[in-house]
Amino acid sequence: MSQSAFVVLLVVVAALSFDFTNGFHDTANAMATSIATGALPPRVAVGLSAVLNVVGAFISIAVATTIAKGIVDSHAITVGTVFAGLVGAIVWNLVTWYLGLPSSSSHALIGGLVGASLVTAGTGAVEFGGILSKVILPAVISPVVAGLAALLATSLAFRITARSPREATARGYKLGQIGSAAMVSLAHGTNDAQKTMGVITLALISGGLLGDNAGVPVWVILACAVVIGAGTYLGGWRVIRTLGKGLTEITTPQGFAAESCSSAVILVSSHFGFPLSTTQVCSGSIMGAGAARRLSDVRWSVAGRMVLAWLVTLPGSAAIAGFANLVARGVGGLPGTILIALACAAFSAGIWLLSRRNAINPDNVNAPIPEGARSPLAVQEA
Amino acid sequence: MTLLAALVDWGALLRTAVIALVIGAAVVSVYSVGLVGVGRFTTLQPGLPRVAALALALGCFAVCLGAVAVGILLMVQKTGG
Repeated sequence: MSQSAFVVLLVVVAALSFDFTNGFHDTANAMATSIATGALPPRVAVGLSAVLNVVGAFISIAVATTIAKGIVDSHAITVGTVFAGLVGAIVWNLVTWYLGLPSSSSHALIGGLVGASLVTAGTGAVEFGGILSKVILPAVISPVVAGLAALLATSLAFRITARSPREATARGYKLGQIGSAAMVSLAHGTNDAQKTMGVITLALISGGLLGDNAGVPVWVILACAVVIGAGTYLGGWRVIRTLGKGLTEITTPQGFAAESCSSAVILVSSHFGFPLSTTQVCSGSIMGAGAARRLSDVRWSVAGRMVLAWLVTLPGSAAIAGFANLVARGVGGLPGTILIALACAAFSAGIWLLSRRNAINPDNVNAPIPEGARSPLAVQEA
Repeated sequence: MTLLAALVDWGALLRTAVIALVIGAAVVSVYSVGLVGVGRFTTLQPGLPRVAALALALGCFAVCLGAVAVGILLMVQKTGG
């Protein structure tokens, strides 16, 4: 195997690793409220979400080649740049997962590619106008719109069913929650697996293994679909706990309203060509649904930490990717890329080991948060 | 502000936000009315009001299923943008 083909292979492995972290990081978007209200048992919820993510990955591959379009000059991207960008995104996803923070995987990937491109080709390679219009503005507006929609929808749902038997309506909303969460999972599959397909295709073209105008190879579609499904099934229980229990104590009408409004915002925005983060939309919806009952029902300290994580995702992943690219280029060639790959693998193992000290799993994901605890990951002993 | 005005179609953005907000709130409201219909159906004595409650519930759930179908159609027809 030639040296350049080996580097492309490393990029493919890194891209699939990112796809895996994307899956388990984002399971919470669709399933956190269904798990919190008991509409679905935890393992069934992540299983359903995994299957729908795989199905979604096959439904449409239209966005596969557009991940960095209008943000980074594609001519400035080398295989090494893509690799460093992926390392930045993987590390960021793992850190935020460890902290239980629902940050955007797409923003982590874009930030990673931007940071690595800055080191490779300087500021000329980055289209800052594209970052403003395609990343920053949607990041500010979409959670607000989703939150307002969920607030309005939840208030209406409470008013409409005020005189109905509570038990019967709760059962009905639980069924509705399953449907609305399934829609979010499917929409997630049609968006996020495609981004990894785009990155792998970009690397194959840059490495000369695919023609300039080649489409996404079938094996790439298959691999990305299966890997994001596997990541989703593993379940990012830490983020699920933050969104389902930590942000607010959610009831079935609130869960249904939050997921329905998330689906509406994601699908309408996508239809009109405004790219947005599923994570931010779903988090905004849950906050809005929580605030519909009482503003004080939302744990604003948790919401504040979450918003802070959104703000620093782009620069954070860009800084990590830029540093990785700098080191790889400093060492030079294949040894530099291998060094970064090993460092990333060691860091991932370290984060996983750290997480075992305070493991969140299907058995304790819904456990009460102890009185006065600052972190939603704190679990009240039975 | 001039840069933002040049980069962003604010009219389209506002339209998108309003449509998403209205659809989200409408689907949840219609589903809730459907649940009220089911509640009435299970508590009323046999007769015309009970049939009307069932018809209301079925109509509301059909509208929600239609919204789901439109959503899936939008996903299938998605274009790279």
